[in-house]
Amino acid sequence: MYKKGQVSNFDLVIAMSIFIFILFVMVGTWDEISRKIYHYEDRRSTYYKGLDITDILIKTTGNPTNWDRLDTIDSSTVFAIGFASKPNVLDEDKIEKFESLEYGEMKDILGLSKEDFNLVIHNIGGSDEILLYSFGDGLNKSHVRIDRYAILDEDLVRLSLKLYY
Amino acid sequence: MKATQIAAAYRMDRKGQISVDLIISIIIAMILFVFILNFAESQYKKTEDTIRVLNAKHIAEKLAREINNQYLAGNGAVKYITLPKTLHGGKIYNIRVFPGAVLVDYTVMGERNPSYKTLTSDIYGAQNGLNLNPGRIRISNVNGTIYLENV
Repeated sequence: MYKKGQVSNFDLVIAMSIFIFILFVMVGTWDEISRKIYHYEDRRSTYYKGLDITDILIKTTGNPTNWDRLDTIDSSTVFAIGFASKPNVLDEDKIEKFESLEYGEMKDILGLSKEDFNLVIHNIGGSDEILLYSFGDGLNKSHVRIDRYAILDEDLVRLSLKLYY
Repeated sequence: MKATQIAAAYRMDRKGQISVDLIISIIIAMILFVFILNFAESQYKKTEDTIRVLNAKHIAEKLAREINNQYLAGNGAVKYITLPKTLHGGKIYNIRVFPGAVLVDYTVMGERNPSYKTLTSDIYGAQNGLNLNPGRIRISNVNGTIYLENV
């Protein structure tokens, strides 16, 4: 009877240790979930950005239409970039003009800030794929890839955009 | 004094007594409790902040992507969109559009302005920052230039 209501210190210490352990596991899990939410959000946002960029590249001529004939190409002279002469038909002059730009200028004109990119155009009309153009470097980072198809010089080409985030 | 009386007195002495190590254990438990309360409060605030940041980013992204879509749709394209009046938790915000970017401004522990880039910088009136109010917005494309106005 005299032990009623008494707590053993040893039990209390064990209980607190288990509680602290569970608490640390919960904190770790919580942070991991937050990190995953941000990662998923970045991926989703980057994917839609990639869709918009490739849409505008293959479907529009750019603004101004003859931006490839301008002496200075930057965000103050070119309002929007586009590789097409008409929807889904690419203009080689525009692609080559884009190729002459520095990587930073390309990023700026594509509306990219923190993301890096790698844009490649392959001729897939024949039996083998032939690399025609490559802009930016491939990186070993999380990325999304968007493939679009268009016509260039009467050949079928695949424009692949990788956005690294 | 009889043995039974001595034993009863001994039991009486033990009643209501706690040892020093139990006191220390309770103090540690209370410190832990305070720590947990603080932690829970900071995590709650962090979660609220995360929701608000994502909310603001989504609003910037929605407007920027609609601008891109109207640019892509070509001359004469018009679209109306409705943006929420407030951010998560009733926080008031403003929208500023610059050539090439949409910013959502709000203040929580300092100024915050998540942004999303547009693919066209030809936006009428955006050179010095075009202010828009949350709510219904008309987006139109006139010869490649994007016009934005609250309606």
